[in-house]
Amino acid sequence: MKGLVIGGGVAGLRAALDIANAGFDIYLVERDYSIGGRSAQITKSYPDLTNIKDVLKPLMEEVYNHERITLLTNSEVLGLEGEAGNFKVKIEKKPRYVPDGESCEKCIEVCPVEIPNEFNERLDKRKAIFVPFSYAIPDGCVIDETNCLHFKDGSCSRCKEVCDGINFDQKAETIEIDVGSVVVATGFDPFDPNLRPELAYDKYDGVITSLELERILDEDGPTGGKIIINGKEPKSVVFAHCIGSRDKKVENPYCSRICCMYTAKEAYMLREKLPNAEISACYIDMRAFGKGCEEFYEEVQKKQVLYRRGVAAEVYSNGVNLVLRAEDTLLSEPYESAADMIVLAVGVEPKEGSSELAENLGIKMDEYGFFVEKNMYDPVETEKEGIFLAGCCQGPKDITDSILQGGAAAAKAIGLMGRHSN
Amino acid sequence: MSLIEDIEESGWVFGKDTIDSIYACMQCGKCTGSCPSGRITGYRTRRLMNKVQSGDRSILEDPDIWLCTTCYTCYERCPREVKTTDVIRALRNVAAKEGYMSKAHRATAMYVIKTGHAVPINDATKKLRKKLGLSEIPPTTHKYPEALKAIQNISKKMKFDKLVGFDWNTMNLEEREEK
Repeated sequence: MKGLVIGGGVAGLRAALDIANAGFDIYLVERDYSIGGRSAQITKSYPDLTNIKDVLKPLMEEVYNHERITLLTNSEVLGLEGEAGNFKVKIEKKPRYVPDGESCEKCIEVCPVEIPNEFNERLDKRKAIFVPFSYAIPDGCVIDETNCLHFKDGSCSRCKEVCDGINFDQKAETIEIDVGSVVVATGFDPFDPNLRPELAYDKYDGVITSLELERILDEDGPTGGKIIINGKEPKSVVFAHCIGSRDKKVENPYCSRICCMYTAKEAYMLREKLPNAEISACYIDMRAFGKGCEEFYEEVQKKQVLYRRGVAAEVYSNGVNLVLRAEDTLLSEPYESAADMIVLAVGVEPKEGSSELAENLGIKMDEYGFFVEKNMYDPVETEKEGIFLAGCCQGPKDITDSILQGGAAAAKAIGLMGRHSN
Repeated sequence: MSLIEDIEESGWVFGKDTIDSIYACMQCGKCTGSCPSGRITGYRTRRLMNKVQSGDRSILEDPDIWLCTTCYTCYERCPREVKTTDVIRALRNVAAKEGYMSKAHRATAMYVIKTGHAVPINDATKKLRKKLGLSEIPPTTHKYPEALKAIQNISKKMKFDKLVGFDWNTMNLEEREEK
């Protein structure tokens, strides 16, 4: 009996590996061009400051090279029928147009299209033929057909002129597979801060999201790891907690769980790169509940990161600096912080397309769009037998918890498939 | 009666949702940080909500509660959807009943009783109305004196005149010791 895992982030990778290592063949379906998920955009983990790449890359390679795992990237689940132990799943497999591993990158040089690079949170540009990121798997180039001129109007085939391997005639195919169990691990999207217009995210380049800062902090990122905002190194930085979390106005009343600590980590990393900058954070409450997290928070404070209690109220420019206005709720006084860079700690939202997937799989979503577990005592099962949940698609959680839930979902899937195999 | 019960009674017009929302405040300070009045005055919205939550009646005599311009910015931005501005307005009702009311608000009330308008018409407004193709005098108490009579009757029946200290002989505010 075979299994299916939907989503190739840390939770899905862990689940796929654990199921495969138990002796079941696994399909791993990933909508993106590469596996790795959101974690691939993150530089270091908290509170131990491990390079994510050092952990994630081997995990991705192990999945890719595992004889029991069939990897289907650039693919989507279109429908599911049947019942636990005997599901029929329809999957659309879209073409990459470039053979796997083809990465001489001459094609990239000649491609005339430039569009914002999603992996780098649109801070730089990429071509329509591109390598998703430095350690993407499968490696090599892919063509993004929605932006490629060949697919738009047939006006360009410059990449093909320099690379014989490229095949524009590849077509999407729909395949049907039989599986006994499904692990859903489709991840999350960051909150769109434009829904809080008083924070002026759209208005000023100096106002960035925490995920953008992750890309800026990354040596492989758009600035090569240099902290550059508006062409220069910032002298003052303010982090704003709880943007799009604990906020009924944007219909996210929940806590996103990861922002307090990733902000602490980003502040720590920023301090290493900017020893003389003023760094502060405005927060409502600190939620440093994970193992080693409270200690790390103290360490960050000792690096002279000033924590001021009170949420960011608004951002404006005085013509010279950005200014963040907030109340220091412990002093009961409003204050204004001049800043060259303001980092919005954006919250966790359900992945775009979650409702279609829920409908295709026949599973429930909560009022926010996260998939619903069976109950609090069966936290990886859904009401539909044979379909399990892992990672942020079920609710906000950090990398460690996502991996944990991936393993738990795998154990449940293995148990179910074992029962049905006998 | 507790302060919240007083607010519920005197602010019934804002509805129970408004009163219930007081308890939802998480003291994040979004309101105070956003407050245009607080930029130039000592008015601190969150602190006011905190005092209301904890039933601290000293807030009633705090002149700061009259510094809210009711712009509704805090109300719009509150992440817990506390109906801040309406809470403040309801709180003012309680304060007024206990004899605390800012002179400026009393003066506004005086104009309502005297003219039917919080801001009576003046020459500039007349000119503007004319420019916009409207009648110089609006179809309000300014045009219909009998309607003004009705407003004055309502004021007497509701004891609004007593509440704000309106003197019918001088058609002005009574001298009142400001509490």
